[in-house]
Amino acid sequence: MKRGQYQYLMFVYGLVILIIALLFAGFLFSFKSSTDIESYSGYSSLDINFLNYLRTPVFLNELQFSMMDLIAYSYYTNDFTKLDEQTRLVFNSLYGDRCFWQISYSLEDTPNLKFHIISNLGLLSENSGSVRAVIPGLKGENINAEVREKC
Amino acid sequence: MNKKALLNFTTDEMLLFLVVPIIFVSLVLIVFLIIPSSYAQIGASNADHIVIKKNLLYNCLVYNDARAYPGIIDITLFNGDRVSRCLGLEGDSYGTILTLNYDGKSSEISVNNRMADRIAFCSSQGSFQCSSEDIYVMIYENGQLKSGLLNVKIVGFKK
Repeated sequence: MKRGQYQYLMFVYGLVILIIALLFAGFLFSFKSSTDIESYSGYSSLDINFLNYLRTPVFLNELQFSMMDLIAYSYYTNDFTKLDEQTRLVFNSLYGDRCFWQISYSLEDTPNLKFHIISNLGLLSENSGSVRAVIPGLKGENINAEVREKC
Repeated sequence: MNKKALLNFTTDEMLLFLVVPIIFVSLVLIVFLIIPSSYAQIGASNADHIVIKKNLLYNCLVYNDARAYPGIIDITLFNGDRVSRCLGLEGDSYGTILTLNYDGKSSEISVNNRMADRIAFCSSQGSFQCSSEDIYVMIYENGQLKSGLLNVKIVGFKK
């Protein structure tokens, strides 16, 4: 092969490889890692909202208790009317109709078996922001309370 | 070029056909994969707003006796001067407007008026970054706990 032909061939060959390499680079760039702090549910105020929900004073037979006591009492008596009413009062005043919210209660031993759920618009999926707390029951059992929100 | 011509390449020429792509691919891997993967891009544009809110609820407004109670607001601490000093916001940094609603009452304080007065510009897609959030809080007043809503509006410049 003549020298001129050889150089021309190598130039074209190099150009083709360069184009392939750039296409490959574009493909790799699509995997660049990117994280947005806002997407972390831990940075919202849901933890404070939930903490204060559990602290909320409620009156039962003219005696003052906290919402935590009401949860334990409702599970013990299997009557969730007062709990439903007070919970909706708190979360409807907080979220209005801007967000979906859901509170579920289960025993710590059987976390997947919810014995009561309160929500404003159906059930929320696992990928919504959530916070949990463990509440001592009246018979020594532990009750899991979990709140979810999606705004 | 026919098949016979390809066979006429010398060993050096054939090696070049291998070396050129190897060099290019190595460069691409280093520049576009190894270097970018050594750091992560973190979008922290709203993190400062979150820090201000956490500072309010865990520090500036918190009721404390022997210990602090995050999320419980001591009503005696809810005044503009004190919160301003606690947050340390001044100049063209951030402005905050806090509105506390409880017991049918509503009280409002603003921190760093220079920026807080610009809250009206939040509705336009300008150079300001704003956030507004309602937070369910407990208010400690005269030895009693009352429930209420704290609305926190924060305005700052876009970065």
